[in-house]
Amino acid sequence: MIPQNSNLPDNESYVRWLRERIGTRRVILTYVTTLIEDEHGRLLWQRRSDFGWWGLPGGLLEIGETFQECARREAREETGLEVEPIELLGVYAGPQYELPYPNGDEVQQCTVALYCRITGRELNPDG
Amino acid sequence: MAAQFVRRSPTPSFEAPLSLAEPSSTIFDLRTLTGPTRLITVGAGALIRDEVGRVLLGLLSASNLWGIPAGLMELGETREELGIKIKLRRLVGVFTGPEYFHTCPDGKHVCRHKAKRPRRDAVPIAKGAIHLC
Repeated sequence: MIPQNSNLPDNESYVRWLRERIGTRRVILTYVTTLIEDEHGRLLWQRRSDFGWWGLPGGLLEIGETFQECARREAREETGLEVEPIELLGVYAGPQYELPYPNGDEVQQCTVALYCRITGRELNPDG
Repeated sequence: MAAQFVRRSPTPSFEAPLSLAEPSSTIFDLRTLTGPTRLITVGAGALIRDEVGRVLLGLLSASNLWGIPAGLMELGETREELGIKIKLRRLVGVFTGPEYFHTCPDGKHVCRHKAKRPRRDAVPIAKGAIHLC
């Protein structure tokens, strides 16, 4: 549930709202990344449409979300899978995680990595 | 802030108020563009124990409450300046969500999350890695 924010409309993405106000300037943003393992011990990777890299499912934390809720939502949106975070693997932050996006946005990432198990549904990448 | 070591209690019960009365430069810069609305910020708190197991608490001048040393992360920052030398041992927890909404004394909202001591409902930690505290 995303609570009311005076300037953030319901269902509006926090980063889109923020970028409309601050432009492309560098900012610390909070991400959740998921390590999703299946019953054969295979880790789920996905090809990113923005960078073309292989990466782990995940995304930006929304206001009012817990890290676990963010992991469940991003996995559902990006892979179609229902997952349950079961372990905190690490937190990665600092200037070594600065990243320029192809659209010019600059970010210093703070990423929380969660190990997840699959609880339901079929793999269905969002393309 | 004043700081002193206190003996560990079998059931530690302290919460960790952040010193948010003075906005950090990163947040201050953002505030000039966003106004007084809710932002997601990143903070870090340190549980510092000395050689006899006492935990370091500081008295926050803004609230007159005792808490662990903590603060908001700045762009490019690698380590919070604490005035004492510490060695990072392990990540004890990461916390966020609506219960961490906070309104600064000047009426500005932040939605903060930070690493601090684990709560009963926290994700259990088997392997800890922290690249910044």
